[in-house]
Amino acid sequence: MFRHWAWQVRSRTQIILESQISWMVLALVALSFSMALALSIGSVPVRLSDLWASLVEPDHGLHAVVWNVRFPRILCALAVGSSLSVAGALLQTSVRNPLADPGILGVTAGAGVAALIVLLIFPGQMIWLPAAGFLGGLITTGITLGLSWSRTHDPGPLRMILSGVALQALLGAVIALLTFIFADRAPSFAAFIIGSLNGLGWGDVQIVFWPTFVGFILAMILIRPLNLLMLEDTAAAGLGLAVRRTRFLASCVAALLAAGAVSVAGLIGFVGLVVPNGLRILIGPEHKFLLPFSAVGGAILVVVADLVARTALAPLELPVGALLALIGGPYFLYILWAKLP
Amino acid sequence: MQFIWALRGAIGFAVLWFALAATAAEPMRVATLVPAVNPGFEADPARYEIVATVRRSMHAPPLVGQQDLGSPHAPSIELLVASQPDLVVGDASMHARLATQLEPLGLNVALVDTRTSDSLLAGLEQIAAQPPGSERLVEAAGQARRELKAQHLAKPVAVVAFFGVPGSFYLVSERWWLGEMMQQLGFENLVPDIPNERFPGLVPVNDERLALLRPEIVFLVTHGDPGAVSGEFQRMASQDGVWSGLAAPELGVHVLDPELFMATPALNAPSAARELVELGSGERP
Repeated sequence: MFRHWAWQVRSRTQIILESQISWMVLALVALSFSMALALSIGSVPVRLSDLWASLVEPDHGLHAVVWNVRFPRILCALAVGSSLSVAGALLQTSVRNPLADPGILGVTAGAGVAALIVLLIFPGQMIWLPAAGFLGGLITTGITLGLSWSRTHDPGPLRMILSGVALQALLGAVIALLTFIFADRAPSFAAFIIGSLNGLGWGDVQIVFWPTFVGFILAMILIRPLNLLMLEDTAAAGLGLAVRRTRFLASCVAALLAAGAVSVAGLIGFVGLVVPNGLRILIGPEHKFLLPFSAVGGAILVVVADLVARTALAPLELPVGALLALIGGPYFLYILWAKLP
Repeated sequence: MQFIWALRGAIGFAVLWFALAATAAEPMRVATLVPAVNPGFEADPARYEIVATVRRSMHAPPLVGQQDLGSPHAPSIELLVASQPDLVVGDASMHARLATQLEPLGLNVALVDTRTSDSLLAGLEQIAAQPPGSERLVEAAGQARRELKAQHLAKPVAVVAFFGVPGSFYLVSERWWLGEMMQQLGFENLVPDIPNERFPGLVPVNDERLALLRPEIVFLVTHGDPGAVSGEFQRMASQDGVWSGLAAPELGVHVLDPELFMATPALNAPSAARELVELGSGERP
């Protein structure tokens, strides 16, 4: 009897696993396809037959465009999308709320203010951009969680959203103040405030790579605790999980990922809301799958959105942050009204 | 042996001379992210060739004859690199961050200060002083500067200037180039410098403050359709409200030519100043 039961569990798990793996293969193929598409389409036409040569041959006429401009921009889009999406998944589990997102909880705005301070006041110290962003994001996370938590109550969705909205308004005022004081430099950072990938190069790839890589590794290390966090706090604590510490660690990793993204692309929102929530419906809440899928899904979303942003009205470039908000805003309202009591 | 060395030297000198002559003959390829500087480079076609530039406004039609880089706020970097410019001219306040991103791509970027016509002309003079050098550009900038200084109103005129798109108006303070130019020309700006500006030098309209203003002349600068902006302004001023004091100033309400007044002019600054003085002195209806 026990053997039969064990066999059934194993075969079912295998079916699910196989199904997830095939989904992952499909997702990776979609990512590769979107990257190839983004690499071949742009203001400067590149024929498919020239694509490889323009990438690898420094003497090729289009090498400067494809290798120095388009390719690093796509890599940045990939890193930004992955980071924000995984950060969203971490925050949603950490606070057990589908509305949690680095943008809505003010993490992005906190990281943005800190990054803006570096850009405006210490323009020669760009190396500190991710560190400052991380610190800003972390402080904002702490304040949002602190405001929405109490000793007696769990963080309710309304309380958390209102805390995030209030904090965003406050940080918006700080940004307005900074742009007023540094009016002579502020127009240069208008795109940063809306969120844009225009002009990103290899230097920016270096800036965003390490926070994304380290953040993703740390998120994968947290898979089991994150799965336990989906249980009631008492049940999770009964299974040996330090609930508050795990929540704090997950929030720190989310802040690191969001900070990396913000430091190169500015205030891009809603990726962390749309992608993980959509994927939970498709592949379920198991973090072993949710996190890698979120990374790939977020990357596809931002790579494609940026492709649309730079080609829809070429040579005019639309800010990718505004395009993503057009997708994310209605989705946010849908979750708010359909999913919450 | 000495003859051979002398021959080698002569050939080497000749090659160098031809190379220098050929280099000098080729005009410098310039990409501009500030359309106002274009007339400056066009003044010396032997030294400069504008290969790429941005549009004055998002609604402007695509450029013909030069590579269209799109909007000055987010120019297409791909097209900029593909046009292979020797020099990229940008706005110090708008393109400071972009410059740090363009320099690793091997592009030579010069940022000009567009806060006033005077600083913009100084930026052009600095560029002209660098190799290959252009006496014509230096002369044109100097001439514009002299003509600008020669313009002045006979007596001060109280003015309020608005920067507007239909449905939205900003007051122009002295921190915007037009406010600074009006001050230099002898206008008395009734909105000299008030806080809460939305953009540098542009302040959201404060109805209470507006109710107290009694200008002798009103200027309207527009980003969009001049007719629509003017109509919207007249509609608001004709109602019995705080705008009514602006309805019929002594010297009229004037919609300024967007081509000349939408952004800081450089070599065209004397034309802009002349137009303001003529309107302010009542020479032009």
